[in-house]
Amino acid sequence: MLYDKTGQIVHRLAEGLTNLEIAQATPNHTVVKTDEGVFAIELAASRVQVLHPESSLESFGKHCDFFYDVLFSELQIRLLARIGFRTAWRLAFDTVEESINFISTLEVLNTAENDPFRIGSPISECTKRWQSDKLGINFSARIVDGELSAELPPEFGDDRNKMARVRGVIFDLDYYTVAPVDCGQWRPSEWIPITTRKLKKDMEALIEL
Amino acid sequence: MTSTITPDVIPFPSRSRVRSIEDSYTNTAGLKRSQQNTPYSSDIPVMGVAGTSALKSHPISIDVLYGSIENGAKHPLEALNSLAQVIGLLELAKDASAESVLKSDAIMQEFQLALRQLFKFRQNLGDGYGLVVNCTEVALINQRGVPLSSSQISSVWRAFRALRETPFLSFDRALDLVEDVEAEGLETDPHGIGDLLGAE
Repeated sequence: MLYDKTGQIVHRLAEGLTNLEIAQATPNHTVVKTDEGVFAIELAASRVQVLHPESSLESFGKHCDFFYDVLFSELQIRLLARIGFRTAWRLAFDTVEESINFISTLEVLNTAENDPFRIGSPISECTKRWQSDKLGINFSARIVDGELSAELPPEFGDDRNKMARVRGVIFDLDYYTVAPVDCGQWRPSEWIPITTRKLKKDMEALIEL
Repeated sequence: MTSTITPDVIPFPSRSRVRSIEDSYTNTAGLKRSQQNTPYSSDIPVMGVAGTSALKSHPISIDVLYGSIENGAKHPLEALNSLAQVIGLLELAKDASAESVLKSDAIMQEFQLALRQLFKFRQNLGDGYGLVVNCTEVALINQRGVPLSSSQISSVWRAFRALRETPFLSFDRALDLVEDVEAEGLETDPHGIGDLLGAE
């Protein structure tokens, strides 16, 4: 169905997004770049990515609403196996030593006293995952000093290398659903702001800010 | 006795396994896949994406998806609070209908008043939501004072439970819910609409 409908999907996206440009058009992987963001449609998943989201998440959510409404109706999708929402949060420090000290004293990671695999100190990155039969989250804290190293998908093109110079700790939160989600339950413009607020609140409590 | 850890690979689910998982799925209205009138219902195998076991379980609860309600706090989606209240009213009306039609009818009148409040959320929730709320109100108006039977109240209750669990449902899926209500003898089209359509 995806093979049959890709043209129709892109046509409908062009009606609601600005300056749409097809970056990749293979039967099982279509990527369109627009002023609103990069939209990728694959056989197994679809993604919406923005490098510089606006300060309000409202318009980002609205663009996602439009994109997924088109996908759901054209591909007749009723059930989603997984929804993922990945965000990175930065806590700036003046020196690397301060960053190391901050991570080592985080109770949730406990790297100062706990090194079961004898990785050695100082620990520069630590990841922890919580997962139930409904939701999951991958929490990662990483010390960065210089270019933020991130493995961005090819859809970003030239923007893959345009990353900010940072010093401090990056918290990478990959929040996802484990139980399937009925399409009638999910609207990105509602879910994204609510989830962002929830993650921020929970993370601040976790790292004791 | 000691156990050992051995490297292992995760097998891709077989087609028959995927099918059996799919068959075990029921939607929020309690219908099995084969009972759902959608293109999704029978022939299309469903696959999870890497790292998930999503199809082994029922859909997530709307309360979990949007943040669980803690200590009686309001739900982040305001409409879900109001929907929970009217579902509570319908449950009271259902229980009351067994002993007193008058009592049940009084509760249903309270429910009818609450529908006006619910209708205002349609802008955020969509046409499918608006259709169910509007058709329910029309059905109650069309009763012209005749109290709903227990089975009719139950059909409205089922529709609103499904609506709370999938508030962003599409227009087509909302029509399915409305048809279920109509199947209990409730008339969801405004009186006179047939004459207007027939006059063309």
